[in-house]
Amino acid sequence: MFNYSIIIPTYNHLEDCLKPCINSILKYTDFSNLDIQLIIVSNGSTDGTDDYLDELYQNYKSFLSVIKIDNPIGFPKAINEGLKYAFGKYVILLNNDTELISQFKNKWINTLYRPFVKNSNLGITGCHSLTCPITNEEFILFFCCMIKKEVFDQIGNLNESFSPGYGEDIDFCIRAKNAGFDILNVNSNIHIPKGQNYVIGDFPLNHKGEVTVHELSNWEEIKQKNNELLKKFHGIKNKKGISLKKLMEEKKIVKENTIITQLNSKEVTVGISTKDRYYTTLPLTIQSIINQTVPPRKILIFDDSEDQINLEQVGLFNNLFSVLKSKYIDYEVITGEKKGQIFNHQNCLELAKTEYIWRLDDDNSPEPNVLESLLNEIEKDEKIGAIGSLILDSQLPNNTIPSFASSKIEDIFFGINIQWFIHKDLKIKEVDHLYSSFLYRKKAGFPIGYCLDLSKIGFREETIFTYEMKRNNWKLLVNPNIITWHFRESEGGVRNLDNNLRQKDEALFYQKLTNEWKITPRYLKTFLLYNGIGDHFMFKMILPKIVKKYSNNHKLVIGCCHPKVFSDIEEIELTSIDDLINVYGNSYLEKSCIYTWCKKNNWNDSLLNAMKQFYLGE
Amino acid sequence: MKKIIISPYSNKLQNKENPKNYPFWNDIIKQLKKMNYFIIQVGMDNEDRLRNIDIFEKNLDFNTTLKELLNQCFCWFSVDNFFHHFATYYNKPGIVIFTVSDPKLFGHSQNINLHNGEENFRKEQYGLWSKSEYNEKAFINSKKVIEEFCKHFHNSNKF
Repeated sequence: MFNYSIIIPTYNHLEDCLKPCINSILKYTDFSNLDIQLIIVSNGSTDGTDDYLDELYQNYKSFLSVIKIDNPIGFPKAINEGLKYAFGKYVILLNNDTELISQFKNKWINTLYRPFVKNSNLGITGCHSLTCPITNEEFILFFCCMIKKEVFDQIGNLNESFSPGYGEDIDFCIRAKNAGFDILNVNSNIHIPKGQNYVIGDFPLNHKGEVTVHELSNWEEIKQKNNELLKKFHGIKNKKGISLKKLMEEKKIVKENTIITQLNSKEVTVGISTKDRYYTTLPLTIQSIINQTVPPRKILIFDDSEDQINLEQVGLFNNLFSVLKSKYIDYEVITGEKKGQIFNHQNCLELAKTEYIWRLDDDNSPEPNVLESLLNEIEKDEKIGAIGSLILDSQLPNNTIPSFASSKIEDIFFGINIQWFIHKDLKIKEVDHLYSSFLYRKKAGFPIGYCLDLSKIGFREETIFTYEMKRNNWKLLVNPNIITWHFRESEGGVRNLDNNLRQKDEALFYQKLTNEWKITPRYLKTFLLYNGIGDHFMFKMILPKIVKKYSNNHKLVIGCCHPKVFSDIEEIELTSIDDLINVYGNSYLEKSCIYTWCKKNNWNDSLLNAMKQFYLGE
Repeated sequence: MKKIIISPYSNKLQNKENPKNYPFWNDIIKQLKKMNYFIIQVGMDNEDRLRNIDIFEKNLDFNTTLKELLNQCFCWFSVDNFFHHFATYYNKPGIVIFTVSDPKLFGHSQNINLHNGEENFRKEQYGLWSKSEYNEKAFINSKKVIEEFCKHFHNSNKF
């Protein structure tokens, strides 16, 4: 029984590619145990490849299969042909322009295989990965990769729509990930040698690249067509249609496969996405930046307004910009693509040349010490990816944080963010996600990018962006000592566009949370008992049923007048009536009053049954 | 001696007697003493002591001492205050003396819920107590209470 099946499609390039490739495989792979199968799929070669393969087969027929196809069929189809003869539990796809380099026998296979032992969810390993600019998904490049056979069984073979080749690896990896498989780049110390256009690392293999399909006269058309297919199959997730090659040129690949851009400054770029707030909150936001005790280096204003005006020609902005100039703060007003603030923040992420980016909403006004405090804190620890202040609503009473507020991602549906409240203790807190405006390291945000799948209102976009940082082992902090004011402004902005879009975004977020991040969300169920001890004991009679109904996926919180009644119930958290009213408003008192409910419904049965109906729907 | 708990008062209202407070406790206690029961009044600091009781236990912790006392007692009497809900939660039956509240709404079936006729019930059962007046005639007399006690507890093997 074969454990591994190596499939190599080949089309011409016998001398410069296939022979060195096969020779290196024979040299550095141990076929003596007969657990490794080699399958070569020759398609349309006219340079003597088939004769070479005939001779090879005579020498190695115990483990070699040769498939000959008259016409060139391209990479995906050739691989799929090879798969018909692949009997290994693991399939290795290898380009003919690869060459194994000096190593102990089988090191390359073992390196690809070893992670499968540790992670049963792993579907694909490879020696190079990139983030696709079309789909914004990480993928393994298929010039050398190992794929668990189960993956093919579950999601099918390579998509032949991508023939003759380009993008089939992206498509396959996304499908595999959607089916719950993990992918992993096993290579370490990856870098691009100076003056070269290829990537090397610790994996013992050279990849020439840019032969075969790249030689086709319509190569650019093929790429274009396949990019369109990726968009069609997996959504448009990137903004400018940057080619992979361009992305490679722009990005520098460093240790642990983290892709970063060059940074010119340790300072801060402020990114503001704005829409139709020229004469309301935007000037206040700019003024608040001017007033910072530590100024940023640059402000990027992305303007998505319906009727755009040249801000330089507006007296108010002219004054503000003059002050910016006098304080040596660069600014740039960029016409937005009107695709929503996610695209604007993504553009900011790419354009900023500073180490830090301060993402600021156009209805936010940070107090003068905010940037200084955020910078002070983030510079204390290299592992801090982002840090936010409190975000307090200017028109609401500034209440203290309720005991049941949570910054855990699983509690996101509580709808209560710890940044919205005054904290009783002023300790800096580590959180799972941040809200609204925050300072972040470009190198923490850049490999992730914003979730461009969301609609133009971008509901949950900052949650996704920051939690992905957390998943990449960056710390996220909230500093409750500093305040950014949120001005309520009904005109403009992006969030009030369309409730349907909000629901769509929420559905996408839920999928991400549960399927991709494997988080089981908790919900919040609160009970307010503003009545006597007797009523409390009556409520306590139905509490076991409430616990049974909700405790599986809810946090149960009771705010009441006599908490001692419930002090022996472990499954609930007790809070004060004030905490609940602070969160839900005064009307919550009336809404949660069982007597008001009885009166309204002319209830004529026992109060205990009323409680069962009111609290349990029985 | 078998113990009987009496929780005689409902919450104090401002400037008026609570319409739930039973006026004939002394008669009941007299009868219970004749039957040789040990009477324990439970309540708060600001409540009056009933005559001829054996002990007045004030401010007991309902999670510990009051619960223990409840477990030890043979029967309990209360007005429509917290006590009958508390005792019901712990499945201990007793006698509740209602006046203007409807036991169908506010009582529990495991208890003996007594009243002096539905005509005495207040119209707005869910209304504020400050709007209800005290009416001594609205209460069931002590003789009937004792009769019910004897029937369901003293002469019964049920409990």
